[in-house]
Formats: sequence, C-alpha cells, structure tokens
Amino acid sequence: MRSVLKTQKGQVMVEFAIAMIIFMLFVFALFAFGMWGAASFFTQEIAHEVARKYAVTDSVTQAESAGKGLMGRMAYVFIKPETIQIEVRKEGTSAVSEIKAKPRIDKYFVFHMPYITKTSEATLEHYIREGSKDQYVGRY
Amino acid sequence: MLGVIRSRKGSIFVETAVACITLVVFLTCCVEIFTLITTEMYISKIAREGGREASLTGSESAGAAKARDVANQYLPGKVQSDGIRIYKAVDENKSHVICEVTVDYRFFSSLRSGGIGGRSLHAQAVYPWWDENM
Repeated sequence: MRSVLKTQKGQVMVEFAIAMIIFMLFVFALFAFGMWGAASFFTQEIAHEVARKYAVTDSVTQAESAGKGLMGRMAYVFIKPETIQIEVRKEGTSAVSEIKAKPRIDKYFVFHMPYITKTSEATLEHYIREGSKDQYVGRY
Repeated sequence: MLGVIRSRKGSIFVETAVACITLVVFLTCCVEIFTLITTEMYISKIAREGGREASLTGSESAGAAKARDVANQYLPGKVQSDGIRIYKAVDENKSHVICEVTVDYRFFSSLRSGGIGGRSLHAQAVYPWWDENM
C-alpha cells in the first residue's frame, strides 16, 4: 500500500480521495439545503392554508385542523410532525397565522438547521364580502 | 496557487471546483424552475378564488377584492393592480364570471433585481354567474 502511495499513481489516488470527500460534503450540503427548502415551502403552504381557513370559518380549531391535515400531504417527509406549532389570531381585519416547524434533517455535521417560522395573512372573509357575515353562502 | 493549478497535482482539485460550480448552477436552475411552477400554480389559485367569490356573492368587486387579497397572501408585491381582471360574459342563455390574472415573471429575480429576462404568466377561471348557482 505504501509503495503504491509513493508512486504518481498513488498521489492521484490520494488527491482523488480528498477531492471525493470535499465533493461528497458538497453534495450532502446540497441535499440538506434541498430538504430544508422543501420543508420551508411546505411550512409556508401550511401557514397560507391556516390563515385562509381561519379567515373563512372564524374557527381556530378548524384552522389548526386544516394545518395538521396538510401534514398528511407529503409535508411529513420534510418536517417533523411532532415539532409543528400552529398559532392563529385575529389582527384588525386580518387572520394571521404563524407556523413553526423543525425540518426532518435538523443537523448537518456540526451545523444545526434552524427552526422554520413562516407567517401568512388573509383578510377575514366578511370584510371582503359586501354585507354581513350572515350572508355567507359557502360551506363552513 | 497558480503553480499548483498548472501542475498535474492540482488537476483533480480544479476538476472538483468545476464540478461544484456546475452543481451550483444546476441547483439554481432547479430552484428557478420550481419557483416558476409554484408561481403558475399560485396565479391559478388567485384566479379561482376571485372567480369563485364573484360567483358566490354576485359581486364583481368582491371577486376582485378577494383575488387581490389572495395575491397579496401568496405572491406579495408580484401581481400589479392591473394584473387582475374580472368581468361578466354573457352568451346565448348563460352568463359567466371570468377572472383573469397576469403576472410578469422575471427569471432569477432573487439573485438580481429585475431578473434576467422573463415571461408573462396568465391564468383564467370561469365560474357561472351567481344566479346560475341557484
């Protein structure tokens, strides 16, 4: 082995090994970044849906349930379902949602992926519609 | 540094660097395509929400307000005020409400203000006018 490493062939092998390590680190970083991006996208989607649901139904329970329901659509692949925190509130004429979640890959060697926090805002349905909320004809 | 790169010793490192750059460009393009597809999906959603609102309430202004609200929610700052058009279309025995959304999508706008080139994305949703729902 030593004699192989001392030759020019061995030198190329060593360089190749070092380059492969760097390259694989890079590839894994890209993969982790991709997974984090997907988790971020799904968290934002959940935030949008929770805000929209609350704006339509005026019910925190239904809004949270809609958010948790979305986890079943592939989101659990990228997000740890047990870490998701859904908060929804009324702010003036808007429904505001804030979602916190931890990505499935939360550690990349020594680097810890941060918690993902996404917010969304939707105008409460009865402020958009002309007349009062009682005139709502859709299904709650 | 130049000496290392010029020698045979550095060739593998140069190749790795080139491969890494190629991968970054590839990833950036993947992200851009993903953004383009999601924008397309979102404008369809905006058009549907606006059209549906107008159809349910019988009010074009309510439909436009809803479409604007959804646009602010999903694509903040990207949909111009004239990018949402909602109107009633009447044919022989039926009337519809049509919601059209147009967005000027700029490629790589996250990397460079104004982006590099772009294209116009368009979505349309057609719903029956409110009295057809009865």
